[in-house]
Amino acid sequence: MLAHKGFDGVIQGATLSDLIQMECLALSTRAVRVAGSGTSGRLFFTGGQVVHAEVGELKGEVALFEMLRWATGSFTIEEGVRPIEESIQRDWHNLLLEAAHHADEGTVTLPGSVVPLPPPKSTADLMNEAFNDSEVVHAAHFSEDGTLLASKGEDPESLQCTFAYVVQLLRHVGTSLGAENLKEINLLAPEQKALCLVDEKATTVMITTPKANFTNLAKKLA
Amino acid sequence: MQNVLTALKDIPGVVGSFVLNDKGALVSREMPAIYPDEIYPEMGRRLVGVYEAIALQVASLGDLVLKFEGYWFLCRRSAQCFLGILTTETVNYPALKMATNVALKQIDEQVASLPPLIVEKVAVPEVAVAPAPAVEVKKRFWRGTLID
Repeated sequence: MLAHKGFDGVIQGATLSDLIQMECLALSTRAVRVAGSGTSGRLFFTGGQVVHAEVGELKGEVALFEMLRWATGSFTIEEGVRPIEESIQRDWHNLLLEAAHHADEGTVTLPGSVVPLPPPKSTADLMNEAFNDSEVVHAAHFSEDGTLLASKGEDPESLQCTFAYVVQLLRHVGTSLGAENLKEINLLAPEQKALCLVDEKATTVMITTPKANFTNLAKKLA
Repeated sequence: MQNVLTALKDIPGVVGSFVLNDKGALVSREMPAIYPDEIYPEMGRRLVGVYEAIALQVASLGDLVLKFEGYWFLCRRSAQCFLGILTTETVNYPALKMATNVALKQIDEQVASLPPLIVEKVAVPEVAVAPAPAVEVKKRFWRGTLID
């Protein structure tokens, strides 16, 4: 059996970040095997930079951040060991800052990990949210084939007719100017404003008070 | 008026601009050469149509901003004319708005001082006139020699 080379230790009262700082400041080139949270991983240092990390199937920064989450653990230093690959390019300062940032937020989002997104809102929900904005006076949402899908205020059919016509005319204006794919129309009048969002399938038009914030309204429908 | 339109190009992102009279006929332009004069009558007719349609439904419209893929088109209406400006989508819109406030004031004064005949003369006709049928010209001879 080969003699074990290097030091063993238990991290108590110090963190893995402290160990990384020490290794980097000492310009180390070696590996550190870290055990904690019922598993183990390895950190590789070359010339005072963290160049590779691995925990189980994880590699690179993902593995490093995983190890930095462990509250306690033990380590074994393996002198002169170099990694087979270099999966981390960032400076060690940046890595530790990002780890500290995650810790401050109380949530750890590992780079490359999949964060579940909230379920997407339905078109009807988005319309309700936008149309219920207090600055929206009249609104209509209609399909390209002329079906009125949602509305607010009186006489939405008339609003639909007007803007179906306006959108067609303005697409032609765009074509004359060599500009394609009309996405948005802003109409500004002293008493009222109008925001019209256009895509291939449907058009949404909102007549608003002059105070309305078009950016916010458009975001609600995004 | 050309100077006023040229000055709008001081705003980064402005591709070009043009002025239409209240009927939609071209009065002046400072647009890249790739845009032929033939586009303005149709564009003018459509813009006037848009303003009229909006006036029926909503209110008398002042400014119109069209956002296309990569380009914006701003159309501002004054008492005398329409000012159209084609820009890239990266244009500084507040700066452009201020520049067009100034430009529109100057253009309005100039358009108001133009005799209607001149405005009509500069404008490109809305409908292309079909070429007149060729008239057969009789050859004239004098003492056996063609004189025309």
